[in-house]
Amino acid sequence: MLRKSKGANIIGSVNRVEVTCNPMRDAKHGRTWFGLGPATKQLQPTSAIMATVVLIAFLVHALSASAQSARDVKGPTPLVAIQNEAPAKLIVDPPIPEQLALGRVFIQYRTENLRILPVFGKAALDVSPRVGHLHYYVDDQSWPIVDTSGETVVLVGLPPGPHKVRLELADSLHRPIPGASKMVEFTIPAPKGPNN
Amino acid sequence: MTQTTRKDRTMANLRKASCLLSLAAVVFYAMSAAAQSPTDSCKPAQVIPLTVEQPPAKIVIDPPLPEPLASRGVVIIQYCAQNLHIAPVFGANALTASPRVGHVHVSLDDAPWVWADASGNPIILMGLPPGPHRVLLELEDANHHTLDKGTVAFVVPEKTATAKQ
Repeated sequence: MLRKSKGANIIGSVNRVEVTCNPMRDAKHGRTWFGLGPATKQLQPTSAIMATVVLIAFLVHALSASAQSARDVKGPTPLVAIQNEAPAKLIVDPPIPEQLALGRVFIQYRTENLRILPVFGKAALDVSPRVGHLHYYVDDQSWPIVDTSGETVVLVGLPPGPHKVRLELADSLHRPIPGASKMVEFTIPAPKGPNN
Repeated sequence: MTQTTRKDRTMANLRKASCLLSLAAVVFYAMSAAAQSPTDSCKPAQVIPLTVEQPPAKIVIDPPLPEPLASRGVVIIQYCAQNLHIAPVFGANALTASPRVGHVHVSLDDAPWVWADASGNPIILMGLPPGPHRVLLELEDANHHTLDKGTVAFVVPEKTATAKQ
């Protein structure tokens, strides 16, 4: 009974909070309002506590807003050099399952601390922020396919059965960057019909 | 009277000079055309929607750049798409985009599989085993239907290929 009335009281003020924090709820990050949940359980419905709740809400809002800044999503601008840039990182997704079921291999990847660009040669080694490109090897291929587009890797027509693709980041002299290599293994299903 | 004849003479001289000049231009053009590679005369694709019907798409391919192939065994194939804008834009809905958008499919040595490249940048292959190779470049529309194709054959030299791993 007590709990219920507490809840009712809080809902009254929550309405206000909700209005203030609508933008956060619209955020596409699926973030839950972790600040409010625990607070409603423990706190007494006094105005001071309501103020705390509002404050927390504002903080959460501010945090989530800053997590969506252009720089946070896109990385640093290429216009300003970065001192002691962190090592290059390669993040690779498994092939998209729906496409793989159709025999097409679409491998998405992204990089950190390295921009994929068609810029080559010794001089480009000193460019900051770092530039480089992707090498990938299909099955036991001894030679890499060089990709400077940054786009999804697309392989079509591989025979049915198990395959592997090794992706690595390379510097502008085509030297593999240590620690930035990933292996993706997958199986191309046997074709179901006569047409591919 | 004298003024007119002088004028006539000047005109005649000018005509002669222009005739010589145009001859020189023709010779020069022929020489430079002979030194040109196929992609030199290829116009880059437009990006603004066209008001007239677009001619069929064509791919123009250069042989691999001689120097990197000879010295390092690296195969760099420059190509140019005519009447097609190379872009990572896909699907049936993109088929009617104007100018036409598409990409290339690349395969090596008659492999049954291809990789796609929607960057428009030269094709680069390195570390190929020494010996003769063929690269097939297919110009694809946005929905992976081949519009044109071309093949480049080349030989990766023995020495550099082994030296460069």
